[in-house]
Amino acid sequence: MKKSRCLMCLLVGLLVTGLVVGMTPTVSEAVTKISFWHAMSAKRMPAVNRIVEGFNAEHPDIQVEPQFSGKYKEVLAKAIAAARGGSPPHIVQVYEVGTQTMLDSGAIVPVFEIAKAGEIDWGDIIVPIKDYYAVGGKLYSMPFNSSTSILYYNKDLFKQAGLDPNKPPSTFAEMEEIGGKIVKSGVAPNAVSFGWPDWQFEQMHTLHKQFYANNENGRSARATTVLGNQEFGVKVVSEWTKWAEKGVFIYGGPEYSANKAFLAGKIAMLYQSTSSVGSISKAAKFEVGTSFLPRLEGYQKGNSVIGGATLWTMKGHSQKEYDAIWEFYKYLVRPEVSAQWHRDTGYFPSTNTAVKLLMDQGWFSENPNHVTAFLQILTGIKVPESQGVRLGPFVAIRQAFKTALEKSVQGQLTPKAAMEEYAAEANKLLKEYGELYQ
Amino acid sequence: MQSKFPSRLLPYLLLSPSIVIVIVFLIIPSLQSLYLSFFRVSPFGDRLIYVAIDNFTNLLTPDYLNSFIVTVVFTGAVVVVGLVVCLALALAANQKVAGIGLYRTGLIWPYALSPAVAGTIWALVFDPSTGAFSYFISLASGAMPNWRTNGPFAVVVITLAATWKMVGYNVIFFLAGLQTIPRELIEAAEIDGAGPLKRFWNITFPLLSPMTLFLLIMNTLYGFFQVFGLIDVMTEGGPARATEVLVYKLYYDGFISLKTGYASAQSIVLFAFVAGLTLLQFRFAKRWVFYQ
Amino acid sequence: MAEVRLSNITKRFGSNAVVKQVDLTVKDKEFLVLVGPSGCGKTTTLRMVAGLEEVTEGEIYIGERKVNDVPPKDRDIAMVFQNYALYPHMNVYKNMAFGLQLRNFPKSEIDRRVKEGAKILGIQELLSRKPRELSGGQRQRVAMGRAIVRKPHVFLFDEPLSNLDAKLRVQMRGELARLHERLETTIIYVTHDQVEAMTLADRIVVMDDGFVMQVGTPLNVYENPKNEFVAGFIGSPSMNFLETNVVEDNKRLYVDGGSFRLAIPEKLSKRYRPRLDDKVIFGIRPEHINDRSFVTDVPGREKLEAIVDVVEPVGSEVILIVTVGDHHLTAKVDPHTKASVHKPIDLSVDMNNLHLFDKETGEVIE
Repeated sequence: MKKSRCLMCLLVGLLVTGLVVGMTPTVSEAVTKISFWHAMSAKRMPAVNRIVEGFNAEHPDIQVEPQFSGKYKEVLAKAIAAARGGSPPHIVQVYEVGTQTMLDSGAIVPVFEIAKAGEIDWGDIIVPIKDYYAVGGKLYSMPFNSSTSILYYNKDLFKQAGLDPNKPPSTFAEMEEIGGKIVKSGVAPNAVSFGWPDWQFEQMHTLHKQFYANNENGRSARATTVLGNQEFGVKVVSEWTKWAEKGVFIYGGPEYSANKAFLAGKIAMLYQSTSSVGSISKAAKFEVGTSFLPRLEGYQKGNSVIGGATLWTMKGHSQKEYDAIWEFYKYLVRPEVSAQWHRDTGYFPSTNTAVKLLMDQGWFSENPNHVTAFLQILTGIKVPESQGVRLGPFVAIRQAFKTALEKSVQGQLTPKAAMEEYAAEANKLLKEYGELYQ
Repeated sequence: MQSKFPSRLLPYLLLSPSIVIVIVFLIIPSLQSLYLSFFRVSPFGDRLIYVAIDNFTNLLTPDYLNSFIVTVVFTGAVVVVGLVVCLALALAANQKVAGIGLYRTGLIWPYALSPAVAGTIWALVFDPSTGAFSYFISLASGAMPNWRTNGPFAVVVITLAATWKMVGYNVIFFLAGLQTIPRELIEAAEIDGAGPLKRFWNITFPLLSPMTLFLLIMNTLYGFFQVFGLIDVMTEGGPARATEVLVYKLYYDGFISLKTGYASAQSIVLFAFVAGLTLLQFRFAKRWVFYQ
Repeated sequence: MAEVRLSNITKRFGSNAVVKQVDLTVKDKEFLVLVGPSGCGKTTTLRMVAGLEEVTEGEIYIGERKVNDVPPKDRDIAMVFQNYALYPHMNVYKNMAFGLQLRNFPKSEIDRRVKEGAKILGIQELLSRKPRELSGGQRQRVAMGRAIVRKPHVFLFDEPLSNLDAKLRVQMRGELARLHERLETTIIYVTHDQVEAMTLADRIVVMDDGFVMQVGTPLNVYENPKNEFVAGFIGSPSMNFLETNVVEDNKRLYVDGGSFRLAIPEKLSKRYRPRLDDKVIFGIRPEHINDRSFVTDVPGREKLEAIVDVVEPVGSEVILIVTVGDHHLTAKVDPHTKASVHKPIDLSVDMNNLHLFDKETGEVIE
């Protein structure tokens, strides 16, 4: 029986070793490793890597390890899974709609808690960005990539259609008219499409000084109802549906899906984040123009709303690691770093100092399309309605809106009925979410 | 054949890795899912509210019913189209023609692709602005169907993508089944007076029935569970929920909308439904499946 | 009127010819057996008659009709396969009825024929069983039943008894013979077993390497083989072949093998005199070499002394393998022989039944 005894011992030994090795945490080393999970795909990824490499070179005792983890929603899902599993990353990039979720999570460390007094001039942060992410005047997450939506248009197609390439539509009425002319002339099968259609709906609200949800968009207290089924929201969707019926508007799918159609010349105009300005400018085989988003006449003026993401710091790490993270955040707001990030991607530089640096370097005069988003935001009016919407189940609510818009545009429901359906779903989601945090 | 193990503990030790994996990755999560389905869960899982069977009753909504119908239609299409087309392809691939090896390889390789890659390919090919197929369709019919806005067309596109991906799998199994049918049986039928069609229906198809049943079940499971990646890459359940199959809705509710309890309830229902469907298939099969 | 005529048939697979210029006529109601070793082309020939293989060169006629391009189902033939080829998912009744159903026979007629065929073959009780529930012999009968209900003009059998055990094979042979008598239909039968061929055939066709070696009645082929191959193939144990010379001594011809010399009967000397002093192959069947103690001396019988190597008692006789100088012979002797290993024995060779073959061509010398 000796042979079997040996075999048994070997098996037991292997099992135990496997378990031990699997469960032992990795031994800490002299270099502090910081894991940074982000969703910056395509052209944005090298821009992120550039920042990280610059930081790592300057700080030999810290190693930030960037990890592309998919789209925003996937990064969030992974972070949640990691947090629940007890091994969260250090820094997670979460999109603006996940703000409330992160605030409620109990799994984050607010930025102001790891900040060292005086090392960052918070007053230098661009006001709309700070307004969006601050709670009670304090920043919980670190601004990183902020954007807003602008209007892109194909100047060549405008010329071909006999339209003035320097006069894109400024109002809904003009959009309908100009869009109609484009379709009629045959230069493109449709005139306009949207990137992030759910976000565009929010933009419409903030642009026209309309609340998206009650309790001041969920900022003064948890929101309990959305207002999209009110007169304004229904009006916007009706207009868009009317455009669709005329072939002026074509639904382009979620997120960045509509960019392809724009670059292929199948649409002449595109509502899209300014973070695409770099990639669109490079990829377009035509002259690209940008302008403010068209407004609906008869309503007051507000401002376009910030979109994008911020960096959240997760609980469960050592003070040494938090110090390292703080060093990284300081690096991010350096004017040259922030300016380069803007140059590479089109996202806003986070600080006024960075803006001045870009201006002094003549960047804006050489790249007029990069300025549009700035000007739109800076010429807007700071009102409570435009500071940003904060909802717990925001992702699901956006999905409900997308579905409602799809149904309205396809003619399955009237705009009013679609919005009612959307509101019913959204309110239910808000109620259920709220009950979790009584 | 029986083996005698030298020590009483050895068999358990040898089995333990497999058992551990099954328990850790299948049994425990399933039980957790069952547990969570009775709760409303916060995104980070830190708060739980007991809601009894609310998660289940909340499924009795038009949206869930829509998912149900979409799933049944979609899976039905994948199964029917898949089995019929692939059987025809397998029959064709079973001939002794020059270059038959090349044709077979061409039929089989799409199975090696991940669902995400397959979905990407079909999304691109049918892209209303830039896709090759869209171009041909517009040339042929003048209309350009847009699967981002046209629900039924979106279902058609994902059915094509899903079926295409399974062609390799189905064809291999059908080919194997065909090749176990002795040539003499076909010849005897030929002499008895059966033409090609009658030979197929009376001899080939009945003898192929165990394989057909197997593929029926596998394709059903595929349509219910494994197309998730494809749909995520292509339509994300849209437009207007036209392609929101049960498993996708489950994923979205659970991981994107972060409604863990609700998604757990859905997973229980889905599991029960598919288990029931599979049992039904076995029952029904006793009548027409012939095992040699 | 079901004469089957194969007119100069050749079959090639690629450049490889497996049936070479076979020219045969099967008479109406005849039981013709194609026999030969594996690979001789007999099965391929049968399959060409069935229509399962295309004919490369030549014509096949069934009746007066040229059937080269006629599909199997229209040739009015029925085939029994080596592995029976029963439809496993149908019961015996359906197996037998299938061909008739396909031809749209009325149900009553189908029922009558199936029951009749089942009765002939003794399988009435098996009609509702599936093939996997039957023994080998039963399956064989069902395969035959399937063929006979069709009442074809020609039956084709492809080694139908090969998969049966020895005892069953003998039994089935008898039944096949009785069946042929009863049905009075032309049968073309393929086998590699020469005993089957001899017992069942009206005429035998011996084939080797794609060629027809000889056609004749069993007795004819046995007594008058045209060449060495046929001579060695037919008969068991097979004929002895010895290298010898034809010599003359005192006006008598002899077959001289070095260590022995056997006289050629007078009446045959005219046939072999032209081959005097030639090297020839001397063929003599074991059954014509006997123990001298048990035979009477008649003209033509010659003495031969040999040493016994192996004694094989078979019951009805004893097979001896003996040595004569350099030569080895097989002899069939009386069961009560006193032969024993390593001891000499006196044998008697019936030289009336000798065969001489040309050493180069293998053709018989006549």
